[in-house]
Parts: sequence; structure tokens; C-alpha cells
Amino acid sequence: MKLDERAIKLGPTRREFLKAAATSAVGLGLLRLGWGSGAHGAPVGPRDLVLWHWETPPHRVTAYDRLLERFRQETGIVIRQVPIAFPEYHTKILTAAPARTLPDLIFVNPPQFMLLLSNDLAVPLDDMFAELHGKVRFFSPYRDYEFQGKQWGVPLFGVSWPLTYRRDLHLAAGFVGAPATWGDLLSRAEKMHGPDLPGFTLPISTKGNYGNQVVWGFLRTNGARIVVGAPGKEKVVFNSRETIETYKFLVELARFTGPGAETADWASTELLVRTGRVQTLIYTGSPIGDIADKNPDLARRYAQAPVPRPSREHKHANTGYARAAMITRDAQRRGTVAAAKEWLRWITQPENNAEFLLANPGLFMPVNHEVVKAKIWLGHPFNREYKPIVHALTEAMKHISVQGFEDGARSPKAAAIEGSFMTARVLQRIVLEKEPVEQAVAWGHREYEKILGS
Amino acid sequence: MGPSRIREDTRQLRAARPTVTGNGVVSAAAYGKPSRVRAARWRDAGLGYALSLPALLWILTITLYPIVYNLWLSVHETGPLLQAPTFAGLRHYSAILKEAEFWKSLERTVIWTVGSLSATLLPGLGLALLLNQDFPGARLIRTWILLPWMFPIVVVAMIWVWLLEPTVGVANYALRIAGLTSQPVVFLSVDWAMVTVILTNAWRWIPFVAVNVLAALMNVPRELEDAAKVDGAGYWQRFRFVALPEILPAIGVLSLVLLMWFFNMFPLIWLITRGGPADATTILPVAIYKTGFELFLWGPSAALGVILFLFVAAMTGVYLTIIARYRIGAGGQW
Amino acid sequence: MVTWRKVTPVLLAVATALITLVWVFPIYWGLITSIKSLPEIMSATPTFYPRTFTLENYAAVLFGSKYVLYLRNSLSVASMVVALTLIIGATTAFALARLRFPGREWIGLLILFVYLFPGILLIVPLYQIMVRLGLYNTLVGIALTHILFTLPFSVWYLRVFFASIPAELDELAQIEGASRLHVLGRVYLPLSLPALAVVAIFAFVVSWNEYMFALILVADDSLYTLSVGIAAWVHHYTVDWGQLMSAAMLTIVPSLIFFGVLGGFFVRGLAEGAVKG
Repeated sequence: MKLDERAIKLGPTRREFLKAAATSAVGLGLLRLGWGSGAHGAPVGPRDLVLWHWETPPHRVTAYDRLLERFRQETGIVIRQVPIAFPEYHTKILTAAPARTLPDLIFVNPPQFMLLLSNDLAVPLDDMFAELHGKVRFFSPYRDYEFQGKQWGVPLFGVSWPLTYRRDLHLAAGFVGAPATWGDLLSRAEKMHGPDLPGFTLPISTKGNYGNQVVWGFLRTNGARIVVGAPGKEKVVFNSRETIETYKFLVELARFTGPGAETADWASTELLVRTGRVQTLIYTGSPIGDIADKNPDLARRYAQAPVPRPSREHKHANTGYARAAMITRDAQRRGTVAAAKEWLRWITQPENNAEFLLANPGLFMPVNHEVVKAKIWLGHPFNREYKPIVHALTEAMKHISVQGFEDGARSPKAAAIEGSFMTARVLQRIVLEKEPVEQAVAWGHREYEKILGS
Repeated sequence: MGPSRIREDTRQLRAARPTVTGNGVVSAAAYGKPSRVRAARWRDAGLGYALSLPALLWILTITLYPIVYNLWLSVHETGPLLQAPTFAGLRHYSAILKEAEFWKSLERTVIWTVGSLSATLLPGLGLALLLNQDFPGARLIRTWILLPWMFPIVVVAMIWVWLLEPTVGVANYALRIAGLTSQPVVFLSVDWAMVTVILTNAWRWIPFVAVNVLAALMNVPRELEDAAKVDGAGYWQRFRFVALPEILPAIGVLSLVLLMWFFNMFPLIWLITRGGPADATTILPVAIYKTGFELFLWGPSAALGVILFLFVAAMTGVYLTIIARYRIGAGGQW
Repeated sequence: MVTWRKVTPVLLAVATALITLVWVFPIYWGLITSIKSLPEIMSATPTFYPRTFTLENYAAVLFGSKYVLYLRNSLSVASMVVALTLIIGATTAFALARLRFPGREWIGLLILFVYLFPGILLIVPLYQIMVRLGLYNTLVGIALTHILFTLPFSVWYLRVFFASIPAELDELAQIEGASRLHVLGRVYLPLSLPALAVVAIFAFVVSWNEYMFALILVADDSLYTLSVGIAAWVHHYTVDWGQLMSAAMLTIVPSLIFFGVLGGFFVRGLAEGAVKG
């Protein structure tokens, strides 16, 4: 075969050379950009703070920017927010803790609170909390942030998961008001169940926390618990009469759920709410808030009520979280505690707190008695027009319950307990894998024990 | 003209073609004196190390530490923030190996890998052959077929989840108005989730495979093709004797790398199903993530990781020996 | 009479239609979603042809979020990754394909080592290494992490490609006085344009889309890359599909541009059929 001599003399033609040169020039320029633009890890000076949170959707970030900017103008203290997607929150804490690069302020739910606390990564806030509590009177779930007699977190905003339902569709089926008991819920679901609209949109899913949150709400209305006891000495009590009763009820309810229940998560469920494909379900006010101005006709048909209980004698309960701000030990090391406390005082002032809550109308709810009276809170268009919904959501904030914190328990492994989605997994075993209730609950009990390391 | 004659002819032509010898050593004629040959060989070796070691060293340092770290972690018990490690011996390993869930995960991982490889390699090859033809639109597709692969995984997962959603998804809508179904089809049910994720993954990787194979196809020497045509070979015979041997190296690399990637793959499945429903798509990487990042049981998670690593290493070793045995490589060199 | 000749064009047309449907439709769907108004997106019956047209989703992404910042970061990282992958990859591949030294085969195999791991196992230890090396919270650190994933495939792919180039070219060049590196630069690289293009695109896309390490290795969001930014939006309660899709479309634009530039080399190289034509 004749060799192609051209191949040897083949170097870049002039055109190719120029193209390559141009590309390299651009590339080098970008490289130069990249090389220098590393931001510093820790803030400088005691009036430059970092705040971590997981409210990542852009509109919330923008709302926070405005608030933090106003704070800066009033006090000269700079707070830089770092939105971190929730799944990565723990990993960031994990990697920052030994490196002492935790932020000064950090938003937490009770499980993360236990995590930071049990590793001595937080600063107690007693004196300041007493002062604030006197001024705004926090809802009782603030005690979730109490430990060994001290208060470690200041609740700032909350999310509650009450019953959401289409008032008009219930009326059309002959039902007035909201279902109050399990029996009510079941009979309504049965009557209203149809090929296009499920009687009750029950998730049987471990894709995300949603399934877990719904089952937990029902478990709590029956007084069922996962753990009991002081931290370090908790015992798993999942396998109980109350738990089994609840799952037996849920199996019945599952007959009236829609297709896709086994992969339901927040996103898919919100899609259904916003497109009017649900009649009754457990959810926050968030999707209603979203369609309030884009589809007000549909938004107005929704109502909210407490989660149905086994009987009217049972106490109200529902899933919910009072998000609190904590100050970390790294802040102490950097000397930013005073500045952080100043921010906490500022943000709990009713008007500021209200604006903070309105970063996402319909979703974030008050966690103290004063902010409900704030002018900004009452005057906001959504709150004005959807008063009953906001009222239901706020009331639900008084009955919230978090896994690992029920009835005074304080589990350092709360984050893992909730993160395992075990309550939903047990439901899956019963409904999807056809396992008998008692057996599945016993299995769940053993899994929880594994998580607790016992 | 019979196949054996075609095979013979192409073999002769291929033999006549200069190919790379085992070492790529330039013949002594180029250098002249024997001493200069030796000097050249030393220079070659030096240069060889100088060029290849940077990549190797960087990769090894960055991977050796994690292996050691994970090995260490797998025999310890720690708190959720990796604090307070206490020695635990082989406790985690024995617990894992006794658990039925582990073996099921392993089985699912094998099913997933084999399924994904077949769903990706074969259609990818077919697509490459197709794109090698000239037909209206071929050039356009050839250039843009990689586009789906360039999307971030997050977006791919979101789009597919939404398309396949039982109540408001387009797929179900189309099936309904076409009259093919009356009930909503749940693509991510317990029974079908694995198939769906395999196909979604294939959707992503088929274009990549196709483009790689196409690049190799276009390198097939024209005169071999022509000679075979002269011999009277039909399309498939030409493919078998001319093109296939030329593209086997590329397919070999692709399948080896994809084998390792798919076995270890985490993001796509996680984003679509989180391993559900009812653990139907919980392959080992998913289990590792859950155990570590959701249950914060770092010791067991690391142990699972070590087990997975050993498994992949074993499979890769086996695969490599198979490839080497059949001398899939230009002229036998690999 | 139906002959193979007559059937083939029909088959090709059918195949083309299927390809278009399977691969183009999801992207088309994402694209029209990004320009639909929210009520239309959320309507119970999907519309295959957008009835409404709005750019508010794009505006929200471009001006209402830190998109431009994230874009800049992604571009920096990706360009470093592509440059490093091409340079280190091509030189290493050449060494493995053409130069003779003991342990060559082992080095080739060990380079693949990193693929034996699930990425998640690397997270915590890699973070520790980066902190130790002082590369935490730098874009360079992210880039150096990404090349771990792009190099092995690139080295192997280029090695196979180089190996298929006849060795006589080396001889001829050396007879004319070229050194080994000259041979690499003047003979092998120009002949490998399609393969180099594939490697460059591969490196770019892998880096562009990578998100786990880009998140873990930075301390605050001034260094977030695009994929981290998008992932952050998805993971929470509300998913605004219109915004998400427009963010996705905007994210892919630089990949498209890169591909467009290189696609020329790629297709040209394919058309010329290298040296054996």
C-alpha cells in the first residue's frame, strides 16, 4: 500500500492554526478567570457572617437577600446566605465540622439540631431566648429545641402538614365541612373515589420524605411512637397496638388512592394539586400559594383542616417542623456570636419575622403569637384572601410532631430515623408486597433498632 | 463468492497492511548503528514514563486514599458525623452478608448492569451502522445525535419522570388518545420501574455509543471495503469481515468502560426513583448512599462499598481477560 | 417485486422517524415547556404545540437568580478540564500506544482504576484530600477532581485510536529528523481530529454536568456551577417546571456552542477518513 506522504507533512493549515490559537486564547482567558475567583472560606471580621439554609428555590433566595440587605443597612452587619439543597445539607455539615468551617448561623429542623448538639457544635441561647419568648411568646413546639434545661435554637418559621381538600367537590358529594375522624375520612374517600379523581391521595412511596410525612401524621393522631426516652437511652417502641391500628386504617385508605402512589413525592403531588387532580390529601399550603395568582379559580376551591383523628377524643397531631436558627461553636471561635444574636433579635421582631415568612406565602407559617398580629402578615394579599387556610396552617403549627422528638423524646439519631422513611417503607411492604400488618410493623421495629444501633 | 473466500482475501489484505507491532518499536533501519538504536530505546522508555506517569500518579493518589479510608471505615463504628470511631472488626461484613436484602441488591445490580449494557451497546451499534449510510437527514442526525447526552442528568431525570407520570404525563396521554390503553400506565410501578430506568439510561447513552462506533466505522480503510465488494460480498458479509474487526477495539473500550460505569451508577436511578418503589430499583450504589447519607451508618456503608469494589474489580478482570484472549485490538496489541 | 433495494429507503425513513421521536421529542418537550405560560404547563391536557408564548421563565432564570455567576464558574471549570484532559490524555495515550517501557500495560490498566469506584464512596475522602492540598473552595480543585473521571476513558480511547495508525509514519517522520514528540504533534494529532473532538466533547460534558463534587468542594454559592444551581432548585417542595426547563435550556447552550465549534473538526475528520483513504 502506498503511504500517503501528505500525512507526514500534515501539520495544521493556517486556518486551523488560527482557530486553534483563538480557542486556546479564550480558554486561557477563562482559566485565568477561574484561577483567581476562589472565594474565601471563612468570613472576615466579627461583623461578616455566613448563614446556611436549605430554602433553595430562587424566589426564596431573593426574598432573603432583600431582608439581609435591609439588616445590613440598619446595623452594618453583613450576613451571606448559602442555600444548600437539603439532601446535601448533612454532607456539608459532616465535612465542615472537623474542618471548623461551619457557618455562624445555621437553620435546622429538630433532627439536625440534635446532630449539632450531640457533637457539641452549638452555642446555648438561654438568656436571649428568655428575652425573646417574653416578647413574642413562641408556640409550644419551641421545646423541641430545649435540651438539658437549656434552649439552643430560636424558632423562626414553620411548615405544617394538615389536611387539604376540595371543598366544592366534597359539597357536591354531599359532605359539608372537613372530615374530622378516620371513619369520616374513609367513608368519604370511598364515596368520592372515581376513575379520574382518587378518594384520598395517599402516597405509598419512599421517594423522598413525603410518604413518610403523611404516614407519620396519621400515626401521631393515634398516639403511636417510634422511640421513647432520654438521649442515648432511647428505646424503640414502634411495634405497638397504636401503630398496628394505624396501619390497618391506612391499608383501607390505600384502596382509594390514585395511580403513581408508589412513586409520589413532593413535586409530583404538587403537580396534581395545581392541576386539580386531587380531592383530599395531606399537604402544606404551598401549592395553593403558587396558583393563587395564576389560577385563582382553582385555588379558592381548596380548604384546609386538621388531620382526621381516630376519634374526637384523640388529641390533634400532624407532621410539621418549626425551623430554628442556631449559632455554632465556630461562630464562638470567630467572635461573631454577638452579631449573630443581634440578627436573631432583629428577625424575631414581628414585622421582620412576617416579611421573612412571606418569602413563600402559603408555605411558611408563624411560630409565635405576635407575628400573627403583624401588619405585614395580615395585610399580605394571599393571607387576606386565604385567611381560613392560613389559620388552619397556623393552628397546625401548634400540634406539630417530628420523628424522634415525640412526647418529649430526644433522639440523637433523629436525623437517621426520619431519613430512613421507614414508616412509608412499612406501608409499602403491607400494600405493595402484601405482607401482613403485624409482620411488617415488627420488621419496621427491627429496622429502627438497627438504625439506633441497639 | 463464498464467505470463506472473502474472509481469506480480507485477511491477506489486512496482513499486507502495515500494522503496529507489539511494541511500536521503530525498526532499526531508521536509526542505523546498533548503539544509536539502544540509545533511542532508552530515550523512548524515559519519555514513556515521563508522559504517562503524571496521569497515573494523580489518579492513583486520589483513588488509593479513598480505598484505604473506606477499608478503615468499614471495620469501625462511628457516629453520624464520623466522630468517635471504635474498632468493630468484621462485624459489618458478616451482618451484611447475612442479610437477604444485600443479596437481593446484588442481584438487582447485575440485572441492571446486564440490562443496561445490552440496551445500550446493541442499539448503539445499530444506530452507528444506520448513520454510516447516506440518506436525507443523515448528516444532520450524525452531528446532533449527541445532544440528549449533553443534558445534565438532573434535567433528563426530571423530564422523563414528568413524561411518564401516570396522571398528567404526555406518554399516558398519547397512549390514551391513540386508544391503546384505558387505564393509566404506571411506568414506575414495582414491576416496571427497573425496566423503565434501564431504558431511560439507554436513552442517554445510546447516542454516545453510536458516535464512538461511528468514528471508528469511518476509519475503516476504503480499499478493504472495495476489495470485498469486488469479491461479491453483500452488506452483512462486508460488515462481518471488513468493518467489524476494525471497530472491535472501539467497542471493546466502550463496553469495558460502560461495564464499570453502569455497575457503579448512582445519579440517574436516584433521581428517578430513589431506589424505589419498595426497593425495586435499589442497586448496590443506591444502598451504599442510603446507608451512609440517610441512615448515617458509615461503617456498614463503607463495607458495602468495599464489597461492591471487589465485585466490580473481579468482573472487570474477567472481562479484560476475555477481550485480551480474543485479541481485540489492532493487530493484536491492546 | 419487492427487492431489498426498494425496501431499504423505506426502512431508513422509518428508522429516522423513530430516532427523531425517541431522542428529539423529550428535548422538544422541555423546550416548549420553557416558553409556555404556567397555566398552560399545568393544564390537565398536555399541549404538543405551545398555545401561549412567554419569555418570563427565561427572564426569571437569567435575572432572578445567580445564573450568570454560575455560568461563569461552569465555564472556567469546564475549560480547564478540557484543556487538561486533552493535553495529559493525548500525551499519556501516545506513550502507551507507541513508546516501549516496562510496566506499560500495568500503567494502562491502573489508569482505569478510578472507574471501579462508585463516586459516592469518593466524596468524603476526596474532600479531605482537597482540604489537605489547599484546594478546597477553589474552581481549580473542582477541575482537578473532574479530570479524574475524564482521563481514563480519554486515555484509552485515544490510545486505541493512535494504535491504529500505521507505524511507518513514525519511521518516515523520524527518518526526516523528527523527534518522538514531533511525531506526536505533527503526525498523530492532526490525524486524530475526530477522536480528539470526541474526547474534548466528552470532557466538557462530563465536567459541565457533574454536580456532587462541585457542591462538596465549595464553601459558598459564589463558586457554584450551573449543575449545582439547577439541582438545588429541583430538590425542594415547589418545582416551577417552566423555570426549570428554561434553566435546563440555558444550561445546555454553552455545550451546544462548544459542540458546534468542535463538530466541524469532528465531521470533517470523519469525512476525510484519515490516512487510509
